Amino acid sequence: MRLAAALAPARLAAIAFVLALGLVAVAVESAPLGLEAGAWPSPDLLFCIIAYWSLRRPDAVPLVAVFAAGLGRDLLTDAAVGAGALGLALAAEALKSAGRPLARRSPWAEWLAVAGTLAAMLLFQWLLVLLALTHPPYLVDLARQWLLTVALYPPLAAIFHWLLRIRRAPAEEG
Amino acid sequence: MRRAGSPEETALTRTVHRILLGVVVVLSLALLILWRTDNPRLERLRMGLADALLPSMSFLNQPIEFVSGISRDYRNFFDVYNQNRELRREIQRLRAWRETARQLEEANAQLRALNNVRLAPRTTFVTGDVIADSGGPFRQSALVNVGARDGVRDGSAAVDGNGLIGRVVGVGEHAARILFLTDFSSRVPVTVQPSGRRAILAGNGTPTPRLEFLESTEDITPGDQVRSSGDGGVFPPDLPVGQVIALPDDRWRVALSADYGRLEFVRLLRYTPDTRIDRPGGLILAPVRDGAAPAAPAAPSAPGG
Repeated sequence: MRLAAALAPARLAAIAFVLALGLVAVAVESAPLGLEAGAWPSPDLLFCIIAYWSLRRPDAVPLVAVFAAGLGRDLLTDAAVGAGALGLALAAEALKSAGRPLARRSPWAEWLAVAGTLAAMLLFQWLLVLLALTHPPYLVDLARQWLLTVALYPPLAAIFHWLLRIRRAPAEEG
Repeated sequence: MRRAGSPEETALTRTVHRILLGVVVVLSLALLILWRTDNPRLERLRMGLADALLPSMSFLNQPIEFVSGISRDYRNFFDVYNQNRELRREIQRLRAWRETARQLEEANAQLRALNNVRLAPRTTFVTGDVIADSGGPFRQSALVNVGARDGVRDGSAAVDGNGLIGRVVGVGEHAARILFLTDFSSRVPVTVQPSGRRAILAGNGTPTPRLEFLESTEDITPGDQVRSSGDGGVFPPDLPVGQVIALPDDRWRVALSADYGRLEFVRLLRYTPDTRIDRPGGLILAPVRDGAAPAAPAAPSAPGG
């Protein structure tokens, strides 16, 4: 990608838009609901947004922007700094590489790919926290967050599709 | 000259991307190590970001809190009848206790006068709104909208109307972060009443934290009151924490008094421990320079008696 294309105003505007949406997602995720231990965690809205754009407009979610969004969330939500950001950045990269093959398939395939990537991302973060010699959360809490996020992805994708009319990345010519 | 999309340019883009990915991985791991070692700069960065984004977060949270408030009020409405009946019973019990407390207060005042005991300095507090929580399952903490500007200090105890909820682990200018008693990394020294046994309340990610390092379990029974011990001088002593419960796993747990489910406002205590000298190290004066008069000991903060 040429430097001029990388810094095109339209692309920068798209990146800024996704980041602003990410900030809103973090604010909604961290709304003080269910503060008691054992309550269901919030769905990972930031992941939903990054996944949606990674599959449709990968140029709007460059690695550095995704990492910055993840790091901002780690800092704001008192999470293990670096673990969440790295997990999100790697998940976005995996989805970007799966974007073109998925373009030929049904929305169900997209949903499965997102669900699988999210599961891998959560387990990766869990493992990083464990390796940092800190007590990781119970797996049942991770499963709850996974379930909520996976259930929320299709309606969120439908809303974005309806509002923004962004289609999936075109399939590669055979 | 290379053309866009040419094989050389694609290879270059891939190489740059791989280098960038490597940098991101290394940076993330470095940040994780800094986080694990409780780096103060990272904590300052965290609280600085919270200070900067606090107004927008509060604004975005308002509609969510409004809807949540309606749901909570709806549930409360159905609880009112039962609560009323329970409160009447409680009033009857408390009337009997009031008389006992008056007698004990008089006796206590007489004993204090006899012993010339110095009272601990008065604890003041500041109240704030809970504006955010950690959201995910990795941490149990909350952000409140009072900070250093309001006199909040690192380590301050946080209580709700019923008891201790946690302690301040990060202070910004306009915000502070509270680590709940239920978080895996929370450790608070407590005493079990009436036996007076000391223990550490260790968060375990459930609503019932564990009692660890109990001196002895012989005179502990379910229903005993658990209070902060004040050891270490971080928390004031005698803050209500909860009640002892026994679970089938043969470990003593504590049912917390604080109601995390309805936590909207939090009181952060500004506590200064008593300045009483209780160990020989406190008697050592500052080194005397040549020709300079020895430093005078600090005046006591409260008059004795």
